[in-house]
Amino acid sequence: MVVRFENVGMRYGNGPEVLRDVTFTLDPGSFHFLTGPSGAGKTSLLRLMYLAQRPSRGLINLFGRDIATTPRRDLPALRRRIGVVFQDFRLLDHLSALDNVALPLRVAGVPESQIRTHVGELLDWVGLSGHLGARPATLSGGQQQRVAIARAVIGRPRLLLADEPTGNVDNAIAMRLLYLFEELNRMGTCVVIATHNESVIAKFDYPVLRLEGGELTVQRAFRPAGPDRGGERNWERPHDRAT
Amino acid sequence: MFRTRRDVPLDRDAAGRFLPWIIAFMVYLAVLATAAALTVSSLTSAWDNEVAGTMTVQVPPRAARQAAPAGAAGADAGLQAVLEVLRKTPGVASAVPLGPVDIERLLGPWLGPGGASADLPLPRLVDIVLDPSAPLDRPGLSKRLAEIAPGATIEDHRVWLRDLLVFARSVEVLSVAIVLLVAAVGIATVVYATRAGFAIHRGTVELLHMIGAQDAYIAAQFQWHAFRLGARGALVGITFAGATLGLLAHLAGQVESALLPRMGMGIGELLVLAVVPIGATLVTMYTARLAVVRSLAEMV
Repeated sequence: MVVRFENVGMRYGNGPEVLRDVTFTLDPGSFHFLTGPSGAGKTSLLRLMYLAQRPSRGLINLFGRDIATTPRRDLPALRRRIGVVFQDFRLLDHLSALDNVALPLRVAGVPESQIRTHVGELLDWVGLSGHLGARPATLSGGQQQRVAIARAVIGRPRLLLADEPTGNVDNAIAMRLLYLFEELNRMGTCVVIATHNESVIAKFDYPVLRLEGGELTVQRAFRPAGPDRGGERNWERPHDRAT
Repeated sequence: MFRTRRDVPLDRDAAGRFLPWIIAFMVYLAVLATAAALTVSSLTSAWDNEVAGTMTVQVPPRAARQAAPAGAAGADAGLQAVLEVLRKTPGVASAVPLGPVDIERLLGPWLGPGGASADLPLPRLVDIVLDPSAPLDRPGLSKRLAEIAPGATIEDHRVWLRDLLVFARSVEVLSVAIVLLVAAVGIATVVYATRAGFAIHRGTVELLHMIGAQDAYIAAQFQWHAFRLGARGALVGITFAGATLGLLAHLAGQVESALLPRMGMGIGELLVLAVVPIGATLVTMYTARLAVVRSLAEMV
């Protein structure tokens, strides 16, 4: 088990709960879409999963460790097992594409001699072998996104979280990116893709975590949202396992 | 040691421009205050050593010239009688009268060359070195001197030295207070500048944090950046302070040495002064580290 949420609730300050009684489990090597309308809490759920936020209540277990009882000094080691593709990429403008991608390795103390080889291969894999020294500002949106993806996967994470990775690209590129994530998934990484693009989700037969009004339901495979959601039989209770 | 990762672009911050100058000013003030304390300390110990165990007997001119009751002959019969009494007194190791050359040297700065002529009715002075192993009966000695040389006085240098020492200690305390104040202001400035830098680069710090950077990895970048700024500022500060002290020493050397005591510094004092910029740099570095570690502790 990679991720387990039990009755997790979250609120910002004294505001209303943005997530309520969220319960699900992600197994190793699984692939999920996370969807829901804007403001449903997708980003908040991802923030909980990549340990940028603590829940207001409930239990979060990552890689078999209860986050509430894990000492703060042990959290960086857990974070290194998680790759994150942020919605706004969050590339460092003063660093080259190579240095941006190398960041997780440098943070983990990997020797420089190995870093250049690994990063070069990965940037080649995402089609950016000719842009090793390019600063993010000189790259197109799609290229920046691929740099962000390369940075997320360079450390061979056990869990990959992508927040709207297809939000800024056309459908063709979106599909290419998703095939990229599929390839990673085939290598054993548990992947969660947050997107509100249901046409993209519909092209794959992966389970869907659907958030609405802060509540999560788990669907074994995609069924379109809307008045006709395919009936109750298409939906599992929140306590069902996602995979 | 100084080649660290620079994932956080701190070099571009405004703090990088103003912090070295503030540290330079702080180091400049601290070095001058420390130099003042060291100079006063070495002066007081020099005075103390010179004056400890000595006294001066002053014999009025008329008493020095008069015939002694014991019948001693000569122009300075009174003075000879005083010397005889002094040398026989328990607790006095030696009693030496100051000759015309010594008097000329002492009064030269005030009266000019040849000012202390033989016609001038000057009191005669006798330098006394005390014997530390035998106590001196000072009231008894005063009484006996008054009998053979009316108006003769004993000057214990410790009386005026005591006041001077109180003043010198006050200067030392003030100097230390200035150094502490400067250090406190410096630390507060570094904390403020580091927190400002942390706030400016919060996005980058959060990113490093989320990809698994330990607090030490992030703090090291702020710490070594602060070290570079601190070292630059300390170098400028010690350079200007050295120039100022050199100028003061030069000016002091031009003043008549009898009016102003020697103010040179030994290796020990110079080493203490060298500690100021090194200490300022290290304090800057560790203050920045602590400020960042505390800010990071507020993150999940």
